[in-house]
Amino acid sequence: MREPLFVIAPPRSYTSVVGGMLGQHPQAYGLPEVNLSHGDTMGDMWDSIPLAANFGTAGILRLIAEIHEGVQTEEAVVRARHWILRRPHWTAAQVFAHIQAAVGPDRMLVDKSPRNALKAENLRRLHRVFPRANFLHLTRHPGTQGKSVLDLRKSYGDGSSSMDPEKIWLRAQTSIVDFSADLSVGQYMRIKGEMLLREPRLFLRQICEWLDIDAGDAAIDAMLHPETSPYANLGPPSAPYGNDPNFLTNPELDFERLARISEPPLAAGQPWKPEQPFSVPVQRFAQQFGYA
Amino acid sequence: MTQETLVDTPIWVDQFQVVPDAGSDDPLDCPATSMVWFKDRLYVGALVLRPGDVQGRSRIDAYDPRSKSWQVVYESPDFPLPLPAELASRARGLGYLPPDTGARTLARDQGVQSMLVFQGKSDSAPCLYCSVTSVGGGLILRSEDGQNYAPVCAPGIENSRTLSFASLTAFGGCLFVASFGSVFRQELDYAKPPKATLYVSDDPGSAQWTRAAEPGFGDAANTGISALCATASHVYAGTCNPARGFQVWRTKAAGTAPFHWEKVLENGAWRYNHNQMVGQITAFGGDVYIGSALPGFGEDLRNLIGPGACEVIRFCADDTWDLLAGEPRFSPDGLKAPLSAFGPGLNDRFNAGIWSFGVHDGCLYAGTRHWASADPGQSKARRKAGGPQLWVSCNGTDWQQCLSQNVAAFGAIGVRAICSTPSGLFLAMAYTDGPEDGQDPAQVLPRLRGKSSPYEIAFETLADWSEIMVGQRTQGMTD
Repeated sequence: MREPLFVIAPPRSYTSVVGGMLGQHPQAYGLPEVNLSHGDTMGDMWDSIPLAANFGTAGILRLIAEIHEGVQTEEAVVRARHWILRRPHWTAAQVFAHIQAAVGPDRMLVDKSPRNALKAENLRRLHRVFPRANFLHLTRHPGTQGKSVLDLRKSYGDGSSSMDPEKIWLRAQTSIVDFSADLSVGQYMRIKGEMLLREPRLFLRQICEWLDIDAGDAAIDAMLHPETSPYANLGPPSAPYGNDPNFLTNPELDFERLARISEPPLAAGQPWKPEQPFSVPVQRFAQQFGYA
Repeated sequence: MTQETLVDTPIWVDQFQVVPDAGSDDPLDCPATSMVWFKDRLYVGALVLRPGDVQGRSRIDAYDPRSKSWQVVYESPDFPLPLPAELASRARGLGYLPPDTGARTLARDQGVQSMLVFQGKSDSAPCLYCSVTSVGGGLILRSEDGQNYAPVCAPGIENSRTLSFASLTAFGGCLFVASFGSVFRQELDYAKPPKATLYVSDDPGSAQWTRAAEPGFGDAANTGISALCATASHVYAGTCNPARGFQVWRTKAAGTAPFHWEKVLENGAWRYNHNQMVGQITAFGGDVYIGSALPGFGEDLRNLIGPGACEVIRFCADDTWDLLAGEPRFSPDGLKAPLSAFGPGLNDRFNAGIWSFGVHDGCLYAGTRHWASADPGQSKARRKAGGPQLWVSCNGTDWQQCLSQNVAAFGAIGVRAICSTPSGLFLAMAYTDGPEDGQDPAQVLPRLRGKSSPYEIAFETLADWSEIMVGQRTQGMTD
């Protein structure tokens, strides 16, 4: 069985598009956001997500519907929900094994669930289940990431969260960096999302080499079409998302736009708080990641 | 054993021994900072404290391996009195002229930064050039005979706040030097010169120095030029860049200075600022080897970098580069995984920097700067188990540890200098007098006073004494 790949990052860090690309490698299977690290069992995970926020459960519902029935209709999702609710005691290891059995043992599962990086504990839980898994830390400039968080909140009228985006970025990065210190050399790799997206062919090939999967042109070509994933569209009414809504409504890569992705100077500070510099810990990580 | 197999065979741990001391003028009682082979003797540059001295003064000792004898060949003179007002002000601010002692004299130079044997245009024979640290502005000294030394530059060349010059390097009949450190009224800054300047002279004996490049190679984020080396075709310069990570530049030094330089590595070889500076750089087998470094205890508190450990990188003759030991990463130049299979710090997180390189009998040696022994936060057991390492590679790719902490005495913090000679491979091991368990480090180590954390001190000032070691193949192998 191939070891899974976990793409770990704060929310709004290009994980949807990068996870989508990696998941389309012929030897991989890209998962929607299953969030299985957020508890010891599937029940823990399910209970931890507010029902109103079907952002958090839509991914596992769509996945179970797809691997069981090959479709993601409303009816299939209802049956998937029943299947999940009858198995609250299943551990994450059991659920992943079930998914792996369904997609085939030779395919590398690619999980980019945002909740994985919310806490170092979640990452350690994944590591306990998959001690030899690979972890790809995807970074994004704290300014553009924070602005993206705020824009998403605004577009979905989410007034429930007032957490400063800078703190969201810092909390996730701290979790990831703390966690990565325990990993073997080569088990964890970090890449700037901006750099990857500006030159996807160059860096996807390197990621394939690192993962020891086919790095040939055909495989790279397939990865440049994340829209071909069965999860790269809106799902049925009771499970519409399971990924970034913007990505789901427009999953095709616009290479010209990607080539123009920029990184503002770190000294420019927080775009949402004019004249306010980033906090010292944020600056420290940002420079370490190459955003000086 | 044939001559062919002699070459490329490294010296191993049991073939190193401590060079015998020299009685009351024991060079081992002071921190040695540089070494060079000149006129069949090993010259060791050091910093000593004479009775009555408040601050240290430069000294150079020469060791004759045949007679196993030492000779003091240079000791810094005092500045002539009366001291100029600015110099007296600096010295008082630095505590070098404490009013309660009535001290009035001041050593002109306080440490030997770098040494090189070089023959300039007006030198009738190869001369010994030494850069020394001075609160009046760093100097470059010249000696024809190894006994008499005279400055061949104005203090600091252009800026008397330049503490010293580092990385004396010869190329194409010219001598290159990089400015090192700054003098302020209250402290010496070993990390950053006033400007990241590089000077060159084809006739240093006549004290003619010219800028070899634009300061910082035109990049204000390059706060210093931290290492230089020469290959057959180029001079290579490594920078310190706390914001983005080191850069490596090179020039053919064609035409007149300032020369045309091209950048060959940037962004700390894509590890960003965890490869803050080039600690050492050297040519070996047609390629250039780069040892990265973080200051102090692997962490730069001023610039908020680290903690981290060093890497070893090779810039190849075909303009590609390899990661030999360090953190695997993606880069615009392809996937880089450590070819030696060693991670950061050569798998030891206390190895904050490569402090010395040396090429001897076809093998490349790298000495580390290791902070476990100097860290009052570590247990005595940990500090005892710590200590620097000497690594060796005969093909540049595969590295082995040939001298470990088990050989060095307690308190070893680094292999400060390596010198290849016909009489063997000499190492200058640096030691610190660390506090005992439970002792307040600030009480034991006066240099820590005034610092909010022991980790703020410059590693350059940590060494209290040295040991000179020499490695030679056993007689049966060299015959």
